[in-house]
Amino acid sequence: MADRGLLLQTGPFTVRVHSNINGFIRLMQQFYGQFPVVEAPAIADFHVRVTRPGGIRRWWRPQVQFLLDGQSPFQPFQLSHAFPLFEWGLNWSIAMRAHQYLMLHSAAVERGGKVLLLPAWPGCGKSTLCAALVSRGWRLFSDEFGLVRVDDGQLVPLPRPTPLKNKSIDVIREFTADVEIGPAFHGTRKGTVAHLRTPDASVVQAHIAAPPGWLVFPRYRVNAPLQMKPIARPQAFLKLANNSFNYRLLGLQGFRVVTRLVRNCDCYTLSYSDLDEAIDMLNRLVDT
Amino acid sequence: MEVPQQAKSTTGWKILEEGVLHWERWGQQYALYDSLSGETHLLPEFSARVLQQLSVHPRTAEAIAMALYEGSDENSEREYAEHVSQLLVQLQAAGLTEKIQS
Repeated sequence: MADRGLLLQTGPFTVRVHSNINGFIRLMQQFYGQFPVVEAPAIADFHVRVTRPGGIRRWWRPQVQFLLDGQSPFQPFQLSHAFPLFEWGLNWSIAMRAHQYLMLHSAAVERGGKVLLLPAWPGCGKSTLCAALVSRGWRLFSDEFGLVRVDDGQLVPLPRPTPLKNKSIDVIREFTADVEIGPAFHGTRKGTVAHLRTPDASVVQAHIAAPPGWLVFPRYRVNAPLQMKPIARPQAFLKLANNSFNYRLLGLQGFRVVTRLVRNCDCYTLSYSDLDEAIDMLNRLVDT
Repeated sequence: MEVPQQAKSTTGWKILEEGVLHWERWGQQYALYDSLSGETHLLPEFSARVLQQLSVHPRTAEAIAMALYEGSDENSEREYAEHVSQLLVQLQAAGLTEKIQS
């Protein structure tokens, strides 16, 4: 990774990653070891460097920076946070550039050949619910991006490590023993973050797109009773358009993609506090 | 003595530009994308029907009301035309219609 870089295939994207930070390289092996590596020469979608900046801070409170095409879009992080910086940096790079897709801020999981989309803004329990579903056999498309192909409306997988935050880390640890959770990074901008390793099966099938089947807007509420209500398509349409990273940028194409997606999905809101109950409900929804 | 007829409104209305409005209908609601402004609107059926009248050609509020009104009561017809007038002003505020003086 230090010299020629690693050419990593994640979903539809090829990412060239350079780094000479040993702790970061070890975590890349742990969380991306099962991902395909592209043989050089290849054209990368993103050229990323995760490196230590120069200057006096190199020795006093060492830091790490994320460079995309040689430019640093963020302030440096403390050196030990190199891996979460890479994950957030890559998310940012995709959100800024991958406009060949309609990008929803949504978890996406597949079962029975159709995709369940869980669009939500941070704090709604999207990643936790997504992690729990994947631990029960759903295929992970993404915990962060619903990538919709504009020409046929199919969802494109982008499986990556799932970042669990704060209480969600222990919630998932207690929920299932069948997952691998990496080290906790304390004091990040989002509190404590730990990453969940992507199941091998989801990585192996990362080239298989699928049509959307269900659109469920989740909301975690402490002690809330389980409640899933259908919502009218016009309301689902507005919620989804507002949730997209690039709906406005895509213009009429974005309108057509979102309307088609809503037309082809059953649409619900889901309020939950218990993961088992929520998963049972979603399994029943899909199996009927 | 002959009472002069009250002058009818000559204010016409039109959509901003032809071919810029794109529709998706779900039951009695419509999603509307205006490719001129890049704005998306959610409209009830009646607003959509009024706009669709204007997409044929510019009209006055009275002409739209006449085309859409299905009753036979004259008072109701006047109220209906007033309702259409108010709606056209709201659609103007949303950037979907504009006035033309004839």
